Amino acid sequence: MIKGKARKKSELLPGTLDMLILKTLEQGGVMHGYGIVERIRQLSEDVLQVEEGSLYPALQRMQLKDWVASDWGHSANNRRARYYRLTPAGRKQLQQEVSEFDRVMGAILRVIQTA
Amino acid sequence: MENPGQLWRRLLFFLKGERFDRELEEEMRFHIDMKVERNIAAGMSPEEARFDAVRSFGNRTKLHEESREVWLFSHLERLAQDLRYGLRVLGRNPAFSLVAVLALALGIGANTAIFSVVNSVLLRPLPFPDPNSLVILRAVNVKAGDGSTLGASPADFFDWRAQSGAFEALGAETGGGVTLTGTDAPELIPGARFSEGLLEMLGARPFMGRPFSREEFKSSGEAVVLLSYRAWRGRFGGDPEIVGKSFNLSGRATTVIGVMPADFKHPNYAEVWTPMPEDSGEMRIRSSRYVSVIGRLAEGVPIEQAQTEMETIAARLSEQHPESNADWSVRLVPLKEQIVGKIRPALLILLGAVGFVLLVACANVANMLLARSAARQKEIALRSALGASRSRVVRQLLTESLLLSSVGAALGLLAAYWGVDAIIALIPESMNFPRLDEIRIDTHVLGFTVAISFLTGVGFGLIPALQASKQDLQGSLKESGTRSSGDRGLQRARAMLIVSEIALTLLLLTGAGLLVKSFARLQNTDPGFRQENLLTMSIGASMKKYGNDGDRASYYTRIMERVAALPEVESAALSSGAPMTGFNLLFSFTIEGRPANPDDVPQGIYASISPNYFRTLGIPLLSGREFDERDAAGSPPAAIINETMARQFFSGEDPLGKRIRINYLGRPTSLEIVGVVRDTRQEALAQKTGIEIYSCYRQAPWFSTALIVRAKAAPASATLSVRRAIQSIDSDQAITSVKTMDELISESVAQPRLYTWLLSVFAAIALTLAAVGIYGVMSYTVAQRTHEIGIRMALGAQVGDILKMIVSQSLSLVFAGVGLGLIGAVALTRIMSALLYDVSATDPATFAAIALLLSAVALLASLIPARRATKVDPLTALRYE
Repeated sequence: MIKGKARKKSELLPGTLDMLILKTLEQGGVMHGYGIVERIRQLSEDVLQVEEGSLYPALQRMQLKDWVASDWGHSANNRRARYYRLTPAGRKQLQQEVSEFDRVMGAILRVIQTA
Repeated sequence: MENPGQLWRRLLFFLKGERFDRELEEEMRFHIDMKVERNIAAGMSPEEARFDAVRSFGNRTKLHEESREVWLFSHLERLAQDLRYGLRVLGRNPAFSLVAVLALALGIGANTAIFSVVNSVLLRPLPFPDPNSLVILRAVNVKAGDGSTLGASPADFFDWRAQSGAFEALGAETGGGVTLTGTDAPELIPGARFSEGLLEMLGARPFMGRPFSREEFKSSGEAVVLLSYRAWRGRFGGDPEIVGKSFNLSGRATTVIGVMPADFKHPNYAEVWTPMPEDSGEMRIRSSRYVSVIGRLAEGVPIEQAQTEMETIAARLSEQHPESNADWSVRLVPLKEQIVGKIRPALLILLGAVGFVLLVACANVANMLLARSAARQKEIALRSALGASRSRVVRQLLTESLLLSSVGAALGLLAAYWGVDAIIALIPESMNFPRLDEIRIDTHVLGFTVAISFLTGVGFGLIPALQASKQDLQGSLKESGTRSSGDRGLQRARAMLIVSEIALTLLLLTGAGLLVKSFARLQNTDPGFRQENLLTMSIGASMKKYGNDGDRASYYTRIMERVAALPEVESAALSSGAPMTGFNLLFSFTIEGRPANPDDVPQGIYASISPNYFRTLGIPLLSGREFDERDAAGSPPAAIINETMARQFFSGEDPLGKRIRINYLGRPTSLEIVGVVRDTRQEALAQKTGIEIYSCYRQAPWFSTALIVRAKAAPASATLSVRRAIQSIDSDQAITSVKTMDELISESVAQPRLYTWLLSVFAAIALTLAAVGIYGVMSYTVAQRTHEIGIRMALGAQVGDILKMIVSQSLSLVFAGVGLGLIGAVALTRIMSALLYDVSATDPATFAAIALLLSAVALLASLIPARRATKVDPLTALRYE
């Protein structure tokens, strides 16, 4: 789903794509699909590149679950584009996913550091 | 898992329709364009930039599909899609679909039919409350040691009931038919007498009227009767006012107190129930064991504990009454076991047989699917190239096979409805098939059918589906047409299927062959008398009118003489029990002047006959004389014995003049042997002859008698005038069981006939399926090898060479199958030896004949495609690609 690119190729835990999209939308407000991909790439300093093949089905799934909503608007170069935004349910989901991620990550770190 | 909001949004999606696709398309285009711009900004050429953007998007059709699928009720939608596609595929190849569906319908139909019998008879609980706590108590002679059991004597029953604590209740029943008079013709209505509490124990209540009251179990009580639903409808026209009416039953005014519900049929022959008078003299009998005792185990008492307790009670009774109870103990048998235990092995064998038929059908369809999947390789490769995952392809192919099996199951179910009726029609009432009227297709059977159709669908579909989806795309797409030699694995799978199909068919055919041979032997068995043109019937004699032996004998004599004088009749004779009617008296006897061994008292079938009995039936007299005027009521009692008895007890001596002693109704009687006759089959055609003792009816007239009439022509035509002649003597006595000897003999072989029929039908189905399977495989092989055959012929191969090549290939499969099947048959036919008469379960002649038959059919099935191969024009064949 998410490929590590550039220097390090590393697979991320499955299920983190939703969390990354939700987080991006939380910080960036209203964004289109291309914007989400770019933002994740920039923030991760080219380590994380979201594949389009995963992004769009994921966005549809999140709309179905009412985590994000979309509207058509106009982009900077004045082209029609679909913009996504976080819903209250999406915000709640993000919190849940982040805390779950923290918990698992913390656990993994503890294991690694002990060793 | 689906919340309402989500469901609502899904529904909205459907309203969007095409807009969804358009918008998604636009969104993606926007994305790509943005990426192109960025790539150009990063220094790529416009072509490079676009190529990179599009490539990173991957398979857009698939992406589209996946985005869409999020919104669909995806499983259902995909299933509908697969089903639509599957239907189209099956419709495109109607011959294939038809053969596959028919094969499955036969297999599933046969299984459903037999399972509904097994389910109704063996699996469904008995129609009583808490049926598992009901047990039958049988008397068993521990010295005899042969495991055979009898009912209980009335006196023993009352002692058991008084002394046992392991039972909540104990009840007894015994046969008790009544003669209904005062209507057009006297009728003997089969019935049972019940002890007090038995009805309640079986949870039965009249649906009209009331059950027996306490007083009615005393001899002084009013005579009352409960009618079965069947008797009420059939004999009394369903009279709604029947309760309280009085009829003349067996010479006594008897009041109908109630009608039992339609589903109460215990014992299954009973049409009326009367109370068993518990204070009558009969209830003090201890030496005759003829009542059936049923007990309901007290709560929490296991059958073993009740068994132990009853053994203690029986031991005590043996001490108290050694003359009648020495060596007699009790054996407890679950009621269901008692009712269905005998039929179970045969039913399970049939169930196994139809299981084999279904396996053969599955192997057949799997084979056809394999052949087809080879032809569909390109289509499947294309689907995979367009992004269908392997699991998606397997699912699609499995949907197709499940579609086939479901249609097969639906047809099979129809066939089963018809088949169950046919099976029931093959079972005559006289066969006493347990729970016959309970046989039907219920929800359990439907569930079974659904389950086996699913299992068969997956069973025959999985291997071909996995086989088809496992392929290299490039190779398949490039492949121009049929593959030249076919996949090795595929070939092996097909060969294995054919071999197992042949082996299973051989098993079934052998089973059927053994039964057919056994049945033919049975039908050719000489009953010991001439069976043609014989008519038998049972004539009642009420104890009130003919209680005196002399009156009874002269009444029977008058009937016999009147009937014999009829123009249609050649001769008429009397016997206490006619052969094949199932009515036989079994008497113990001793030979006078020989030390008696009390542990081994011999028994023989006893019949009280008229002097012309042997001549009427055509039983040859071997030595001595027949009965005649010398054997009158007061003269010294005489006996005629059969040759088996003469051989067993008088080998090397002349039995004539020797004396035997029998216990005739508690009266020791000494008989002088005056003649020896040939053996006859008394009980059934399959029952080997034992010892038979005859005495003259004038000296020992039995209570009821069978009239045996030899007619001059077809006996059925004489029935009416015989009836009239009897009624002209006494119109109050019932004439029952009017049957020709041909009917009786046919009924006595009803059970083997049923099994033979069913197994033969199943074997025939399997044989047809196997033949179709072999034909299909060989046709396919020939089609595949057309190119090769063309080359061979162009290089000078003769027609004979090609024929030999193809046939030898199929022969190796056939022989492997036959060999495996023979091994299996040797192992498996042994379990059916109980069903065989006069044929060994490993009868070499049957095995050889069946192996030959199957090989011949298989050879024929492969010869047709082989001949087609030789007709190939080498030029066409070479171009054939």
